[in-house]
Amino acid sequence: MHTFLRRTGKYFENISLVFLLLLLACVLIQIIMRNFFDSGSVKLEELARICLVSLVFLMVPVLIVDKQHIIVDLFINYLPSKVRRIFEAVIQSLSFGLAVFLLYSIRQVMLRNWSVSTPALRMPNSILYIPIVLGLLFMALGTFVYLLDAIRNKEEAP
Amino acid sequence: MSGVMIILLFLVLIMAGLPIAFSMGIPAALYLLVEGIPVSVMVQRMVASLNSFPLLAVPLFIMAAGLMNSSGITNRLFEFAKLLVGRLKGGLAQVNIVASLIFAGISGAALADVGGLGNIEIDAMTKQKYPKDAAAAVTAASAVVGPIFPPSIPLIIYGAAAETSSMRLLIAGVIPALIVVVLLMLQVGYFAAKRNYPRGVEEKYTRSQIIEVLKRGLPAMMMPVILMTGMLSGYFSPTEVGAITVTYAIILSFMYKELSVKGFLKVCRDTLRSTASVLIIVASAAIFAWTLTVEQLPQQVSVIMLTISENPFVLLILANIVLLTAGMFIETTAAILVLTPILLPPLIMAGVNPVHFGVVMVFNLMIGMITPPVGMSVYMLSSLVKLPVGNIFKAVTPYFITLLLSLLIITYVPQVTLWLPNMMMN
Repeated sequence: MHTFLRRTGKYFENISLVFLLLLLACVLIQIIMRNFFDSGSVKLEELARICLVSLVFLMVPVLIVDKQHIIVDLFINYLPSKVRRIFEAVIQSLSFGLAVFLLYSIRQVMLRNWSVSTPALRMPNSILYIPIVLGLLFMALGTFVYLLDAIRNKEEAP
Repeated sequence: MSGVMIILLFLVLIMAGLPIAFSMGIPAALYLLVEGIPVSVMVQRMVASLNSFPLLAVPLFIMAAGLMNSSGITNRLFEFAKLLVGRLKGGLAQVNIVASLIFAGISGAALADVGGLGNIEIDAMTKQKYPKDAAAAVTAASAVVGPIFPPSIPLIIYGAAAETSSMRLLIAGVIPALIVVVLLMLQVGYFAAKRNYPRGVEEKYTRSQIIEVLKRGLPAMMMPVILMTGMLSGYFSPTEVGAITVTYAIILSFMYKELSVKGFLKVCRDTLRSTASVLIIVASAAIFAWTLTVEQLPQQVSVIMLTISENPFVLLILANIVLLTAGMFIETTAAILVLTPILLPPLIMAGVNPVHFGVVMVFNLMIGMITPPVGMSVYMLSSLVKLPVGNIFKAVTPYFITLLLSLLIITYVPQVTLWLPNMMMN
């Protein structure tokens, strides 16, 4: 399962990489268009923003899989290893709970807005939300696998 | 579920070792469930907070700093700073401070300074027999300057949170940053005389050496000039400066032939990770701050603060105490997004300028990066120089006092912050 997580994480990272380069291109083209052709484009700006939202939600589960989220570990580092394991299980169950909650939340949003289009690109929200849903699904899976690891006292190196 | 309970739960979760973003998301989710508010608000708020033009600057500046560090630009900036102040006693410590200021003029992030420039600076200083902890301490202290000198990611994020002009904020940071640099250089000069630190460069530079350093460093040195000129003349916005910086860094990287395609992709991947870890905190902080607003916590804080005093100086002392304490525990971005809507309204009512407060806030939080228990710069340096965190915290303490003195000047002499933007933008 961990191999699957890492492989999927790599795919997510590659897609995010495309979004990052596209974001850079959009902002650059916007500067050129405005300064040299006197015509800024709201479509490019919207596309850049969509890229940003997408890459963040796609990378969040990758950070979970690689255990790279920003945490304050100063206090838990002083705990005995047994207590730390209990904390780890609690942390993973809370993270899993949050992922499920977010999935439920986006389901509610999509039920209401799936056919609404974005203001500039006229792109249906359902397309806009695909990377977010994928990211949250992967986040739920990642936290669930780590929760099982914590319960079984298994340590998986990131 | 009251605002105080939400904050307490957040603090408990953060101390328990939950990722900062989730420590904010979980109390917000619970709040929605307990209060019967539609759960769709959660994702809507999170997405809306990221769907913002100013935030595009975050990945762009992170990428620019990564490119500079892996393509030899940082090395050239260091050499250039050495040419400027290397001949002084304790020259490499002075170079450390000046190089941080120049780097700050391009990158906009403190940790990028520590991670990139810090390596080169500490390496050079330890070769000249500076104690490792002393070298790390100067690096940590000088990195604090970065986020108040334009361009700056925290100031842009504050601008978005406070609905204040990012341009004014960025210009407002220039003089405070220079004051901090001067005070740090004076302190280093004092230490150099007392501890008999060597000169950074023993021999005087020959004319051909000066020309060589200038030739190597000038294209990199032009970067802050291009950025500032472009921003002030209106060719590009503070956010767009990020894209220009990345493009210029790519061009220089190819010019210097020190960056391969593989290296470029590594920078991009590192950028993705850093961006996501910062921006998911932004998204979570948005819904967290929203729950506090619904609970009318900002209004309650306003009433309490204005009951204590209506004097802006007294309120700024209170704000400084809150911000310094927050900076010790909370990540900068999260602190800006959560505390701006709480602290800014009473300060504005008392007559404090939001641009002035923005610089004060960011500087306070940056000082938090070198104070225990969560001084991120110190942790990063500890892994770089392989020294216990405690040793670096101890070595950085004298600089902490200088930074506090700078903070007092920035806080209580608003002209230091406001004179330049008022002059340039009116």
